Amino acid sequence: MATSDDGHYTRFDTSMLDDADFCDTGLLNRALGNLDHLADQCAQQRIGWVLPLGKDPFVVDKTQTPGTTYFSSDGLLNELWRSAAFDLHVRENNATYPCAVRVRIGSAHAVEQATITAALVPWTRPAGSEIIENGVNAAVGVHVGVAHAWQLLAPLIYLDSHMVNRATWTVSSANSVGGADVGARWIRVQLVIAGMVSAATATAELSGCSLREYITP
Amino acid sequence: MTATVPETRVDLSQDEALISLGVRAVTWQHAVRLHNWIAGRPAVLVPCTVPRASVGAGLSADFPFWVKPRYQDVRLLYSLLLTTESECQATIKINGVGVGTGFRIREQRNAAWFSFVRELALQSTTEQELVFTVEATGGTVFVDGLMIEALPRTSLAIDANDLGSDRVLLGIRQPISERTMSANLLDLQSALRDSARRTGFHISWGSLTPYSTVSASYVGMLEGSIMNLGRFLYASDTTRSMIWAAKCYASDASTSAEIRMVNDAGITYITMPAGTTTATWFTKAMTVDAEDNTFSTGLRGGVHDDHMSGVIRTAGSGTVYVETISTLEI
Repeated sequence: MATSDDGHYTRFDTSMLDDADFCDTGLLNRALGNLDHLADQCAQQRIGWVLPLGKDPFVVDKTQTPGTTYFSSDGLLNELWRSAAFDLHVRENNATYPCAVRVRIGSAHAVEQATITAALVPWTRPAGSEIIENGVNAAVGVHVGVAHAWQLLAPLIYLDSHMVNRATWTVSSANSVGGADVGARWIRVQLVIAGMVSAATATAELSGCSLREYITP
Repeated sequence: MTATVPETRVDLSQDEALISLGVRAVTWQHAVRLHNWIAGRPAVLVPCTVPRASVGAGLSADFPFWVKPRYQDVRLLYSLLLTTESECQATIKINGVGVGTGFRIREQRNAAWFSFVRELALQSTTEQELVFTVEATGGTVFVDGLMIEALPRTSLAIDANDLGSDRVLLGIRQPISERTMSANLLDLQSALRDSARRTGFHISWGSLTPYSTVSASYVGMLEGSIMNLGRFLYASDTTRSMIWAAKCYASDASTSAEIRMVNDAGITYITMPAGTTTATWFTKAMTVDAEDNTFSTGLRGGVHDDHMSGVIRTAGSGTVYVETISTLEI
């Protein structure tokens, strides 16, 4: 849920901030709302691409034998693409901000369907064991057709508190240019996209993906 | 004097600051914690993007991006996904400086992301170019992903640039003056609002295989559209101002071009004048949908603001090349 009662940022007139005035509780009330709203709007676009014209879509590695489940006949995840490890904002309840995932997919077949799942997977964890049906970190999309189309996956996905703990790493950062190393904690999570098809004549294809954090109303 | 950046945000309750009620110091402590969290948590400079460009054996390609760092950004994490059809090696540079040679590149199913940390030359909010360079040796390398993030800060300087706020001055059982309140929260808030911005999509073809055309009518450069969504700040907001940038050039001095961006707000054009024979950045303001917090998806009117980009040669007989398109809030 959005955290600001006002639901927006409120500008202050500088004349309201005179040192000689008493504290105005109403003003400070809005200052709190502003911080809550700015924190909500810190939501970032973490992934955003569509293929340049003429480039081949992502499909399962040709050395695998794709199956009609998310796993190939040789037991490997039918992975189409995997993002860089990225950060997510963490809320007060230790879950991440929800993420809206949109994928541009095709099935390379007129009537057979391609099903893809997009899952947030803590970095270095095996994706196959982190994609859980109806898990809070995974959403599914289905498409039939040779022409690719964008599809907004539902529901929004996130890492719960346990997953956040698994995805939290200490990295070497600095607080000034040329400054000493400091250990900073942040999330390292990847978006893994796997596919399956309704018949072997179809192919799950991926030609675009976006992921943005969003605090729902 | 520094201020600690919390790892986790706190949710403030506006009900704790109501007219006719006393405001507890702990309320302001929490407000300062959230302020420092917003300022110190890292932003994305280039969201994960996919050039899908190939770099042949013995060749080199630059992947440039136009960004605007936050002042708080000190170290950046550059991530790169390279794949191949037959194991080979690559050399990688960040902003022209080598980060290593002989990186072993594997086929898609065994490929892993490479990550490199680089410190900025100085803290600033100046728009600038950041560049990945990939040199392939022994086989063709495919660039299947790029991303640039800032690393988190653990503390902030307490000043008007780094925007750290001093929690000590708002101590429990300490009298809090109006001056303290103004200096530590209210005066900094507009700068915090501007700092906590959001970037848009970045698409790069690379310098080796830039998008090229000789067409005298507009041709699309992408397989499809791609969404963009700005921040929602003020109550009346329906749109947000952003810029988009294109790095482009022509094969000869007589050729000029126009690159356009089509979205819900209309069409904006970047004009590349004749004489642009080396890759050059051009920027243009544009308007994008602001997030709509009345929809479960956050989309304005429940619909994506899809962007489509195209290019046209407007004069001359040469070829027009586009290396990268970047979109960002400034």
